[in-house]
Amino acid sequence: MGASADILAGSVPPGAARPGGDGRIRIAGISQRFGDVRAVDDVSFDIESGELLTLLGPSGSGKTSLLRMIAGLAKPDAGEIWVGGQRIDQLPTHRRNIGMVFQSLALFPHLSVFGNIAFPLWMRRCGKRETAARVREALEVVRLPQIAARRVDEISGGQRQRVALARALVYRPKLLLLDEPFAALDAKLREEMQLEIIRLHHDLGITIVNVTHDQKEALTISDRVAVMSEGRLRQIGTTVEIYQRPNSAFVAGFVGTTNLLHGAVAAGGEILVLADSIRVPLGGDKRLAPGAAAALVLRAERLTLMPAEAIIPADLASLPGMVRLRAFQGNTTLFEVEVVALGRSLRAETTSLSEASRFPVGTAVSLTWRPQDAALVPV
Amino acid sequence: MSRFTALCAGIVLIFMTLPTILTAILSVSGDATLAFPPQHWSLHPYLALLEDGGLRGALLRSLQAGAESALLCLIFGLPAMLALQRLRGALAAAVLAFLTLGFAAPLAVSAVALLIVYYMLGIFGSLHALALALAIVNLPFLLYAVASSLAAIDHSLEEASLTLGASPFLTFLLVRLPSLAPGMMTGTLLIFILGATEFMVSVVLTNVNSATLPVVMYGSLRSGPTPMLAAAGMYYVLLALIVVLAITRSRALQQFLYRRSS
Amino acid sequence: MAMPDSADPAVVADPPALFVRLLGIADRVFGGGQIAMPAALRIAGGLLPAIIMIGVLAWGLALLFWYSIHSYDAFADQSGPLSPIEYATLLWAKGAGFYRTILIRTVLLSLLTTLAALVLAIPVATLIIRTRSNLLRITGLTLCLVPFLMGDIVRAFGWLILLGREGLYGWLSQSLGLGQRTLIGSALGIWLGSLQTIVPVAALILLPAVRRIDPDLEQAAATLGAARWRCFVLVNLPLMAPGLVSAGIVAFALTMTQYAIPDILGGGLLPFAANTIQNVFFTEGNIYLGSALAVVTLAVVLLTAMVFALGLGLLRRWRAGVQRRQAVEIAL
Ligand SMILES: Nc1ncnc2c1ncn2[C@@H]1O[C@H](COP(=O)(O)OP(=O)(O)O)[C@@H](O)[C@H]1O
Ligand SMILES: [Mg+2]
Repeated sequence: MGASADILAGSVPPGAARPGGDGRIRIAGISQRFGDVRAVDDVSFDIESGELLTLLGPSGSGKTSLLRMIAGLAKPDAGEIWVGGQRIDQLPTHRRNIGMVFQSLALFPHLSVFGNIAFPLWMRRCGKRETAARVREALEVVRLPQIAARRVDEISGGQRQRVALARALVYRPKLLLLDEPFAALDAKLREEMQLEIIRLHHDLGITIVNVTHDQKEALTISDRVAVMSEGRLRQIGTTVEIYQRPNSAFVAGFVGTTNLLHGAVAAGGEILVLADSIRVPLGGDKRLAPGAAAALVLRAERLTLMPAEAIIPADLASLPGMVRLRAFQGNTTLFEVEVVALGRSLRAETTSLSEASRFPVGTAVSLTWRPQDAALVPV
Repeated sequence: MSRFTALCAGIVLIFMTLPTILTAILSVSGDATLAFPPQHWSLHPYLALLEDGGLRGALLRSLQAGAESALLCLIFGLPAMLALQRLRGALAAAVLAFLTLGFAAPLAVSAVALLIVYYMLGIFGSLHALALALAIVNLPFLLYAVASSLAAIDHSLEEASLTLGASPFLTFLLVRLPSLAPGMMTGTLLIFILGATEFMVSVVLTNVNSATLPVVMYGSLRSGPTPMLAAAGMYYVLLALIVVLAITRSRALQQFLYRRSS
Repeated sequence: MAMPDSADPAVVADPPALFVRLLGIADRVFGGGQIAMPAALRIAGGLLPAIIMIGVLAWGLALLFWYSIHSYDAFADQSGPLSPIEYATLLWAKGAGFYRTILIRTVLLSLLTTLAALVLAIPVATLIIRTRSNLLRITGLTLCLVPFLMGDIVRAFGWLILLGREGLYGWLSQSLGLGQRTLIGSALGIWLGSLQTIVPVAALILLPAVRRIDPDLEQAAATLGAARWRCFVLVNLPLMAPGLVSAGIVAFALTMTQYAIPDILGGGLLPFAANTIQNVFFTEGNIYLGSALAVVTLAVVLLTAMVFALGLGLLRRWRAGVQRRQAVEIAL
């Protein structure tokens, strides 16, 4: 796995690395097991200084375990962790100088907002005046009004998030770890906090490792995404790479609304033979050897519905089907189209209202796509 | 909750409070002997009690024994509970069962058992020895109170403290102890008042010089109850009331009373 | 569900700067609490002081047991040989009737007290958990906790002036022309006095059990057509059963070993086991017989607890059996 991850690792966009930062991270062969469960299984990757990397994966895929090892809250069974050119996996947590925001936020209930944010400064023996100044500054950074004297259970959910962020930033750590801190927020507030993170990341130039199971969040805020499942690193790359060139059926299925068509490659890699000998053309640059089992990744928004009687342009691939379900979702409309020949339904999405209105449930349609828009992954 | 339930509860609660109300009424009786209803009213019993060297000394000894026993429980019980939390399975259960021996054995039995040992050790009659005995039989209250606080602990708080740069030592002092404080307070207050009002163990383990207020009251009760005794009882009622109000205001009591596992 | 509001006083005290500074120094002295020490040593270090403290009691109990299985040489006032004679004196020898009566009285009155206390504790616990008024909840808790905390003697004193000839009962009976009556010296008096101690304890133990019962369950049962009492018997009672068993065990153990209430309210006429232990120990000066009586009392308490717990286990098994049979019937 390690080797293939290296090959597939996308290059870091040049804008992501900022001069002066010392938040380079190297995760090398990290493993952790709990009894028979391999929570983290030989994971290796590098993060550039100033980058925002998201660990994305379903629940139980080992994201939290990996993050806790970076923070020193758990010991890896094997592997090394380097931050800023220093090996840290033998250091105790309190010497690592890493900021972390917990899923539960873990604000100290017996301290005020001020006390919470000042806590790491007390530990660093800051003077009284400097402490006050830096707490004020941190509160400004997270754009909180004057609430320093409040109890942490007297403030709103969004304010608590910001206090937790301020607490993790006030001592200017090289690295900030976020363990799904927004998972419990309602959708509106979550979006707002995601934008807040983008802004903070841009303003402070700090290295951030964010954990989420929400693929939308990962695509929204990250420079790069590392997809994990069952403790293994499945793919790491820029958001665009992950979305457009998934390396496996798992990654393709996990990110975006996706239809996977399983089949076998034929005709020198130009054709995929699906069930019932249906043949669809393949485009793009990536070829698999003839005879290989593969899956075609059809993103819902790349599928276009056409009336069944329309003539299909020669450069499009198509499958005949029947609309079974139409759901208006605000900015998009989702279709479920039954393809009898394949014995299953495919999902298509359109942003055009006029197009959506042309295909009520029961309409016979052709599902079409440009072959180069569909990635092919080995299975 | 039906009105019927509320009515039943009300009757039961009034029934349980009736003797206390009566004690309160008779504690301001101006009569020489205790009889209901009082013929005269007076605050004299309360003042006489404080002037009576014997009773006042006994009251002070009671408070001292209660406080000492609470302190002993805290000093011995808190580290034990913290250590116990790291044990698992049958060993943990066995140690806990041993430490709560004071609950398993009837007070009357524990009292004579301790008496035998105290005679062997030559510490019978000492007030500190009584405090130790009270600590032994009441230790479970502290263990349970601390355990319910421990069960409610959010471990991510301690982890957060570590990531923020606090050493394990400071994390213990600044995060763990404050989260346990409510349980420690509830347990300590309970043991203090239970110790100060305890009778069974005290009557066996004290002599004339170390008799606590309940023991002295018991002695005078046999020679006939007086309004002064009612006043002495009211001091205890008041003390209990203060303690109860203090702990019902705390979150710890709620953790303790409404705990998940019974 | 009516959850008790947290009434914690809103005190947030950030530690003063000097305190933090001092802690920092202590931290350096203690090396951050990272002194290399095996975990087992730490655990043992935490437990040992408490184990030694309780060891004093365990030692005493062991001595009691040791004395109880020896005969007493009254002439030389010393231990005789190993023998079951003390137990014989208490339980089966000729003349053991005196002690048997005391044991039977203790057990019977304790059972009666326990039963009544459980019945009375249910509405009290329900009120404390379910009421929407915080004031009512605090009042209920206070009225339960104060008698529990004020001590045996103050409780006994209160009943003495309630039930005594010179007390409320005597005054009432005289006002009604029945003569100056008293309940002191009667089993009823002891029973009432015991209830005041035991009902609050039972109610406090029941609180978590009542809290676990979702009030929606009762409403669900009602919509399914159950009358209120059936709903109580079929829904609340089974769900409360484990709590009732623990409350029952504690209530019985506490009543069984009462001293002050039977002594003062029984007027010395109806001694319980604990009174007799004291008497044998201190008046007769026979620690061997007294120890045996203590061991018998302890055994009765433990046996009853086991029977209660076993009963609960059987009840559970029986219910599981009924449900399985119903499932099979439905399946067929
Ligand atoms: N302390 C632990 N003890 C046992 N198993 C654990 C522990 N922590 C995590 N695991 C297991 O390790 C796997 C990864 O967990 P985690 O890192 O929490 O996943 P994620 O954060 O991606 O949801 C899961 O199967 C989980 O059950
Ligand atoms: Mg997680």
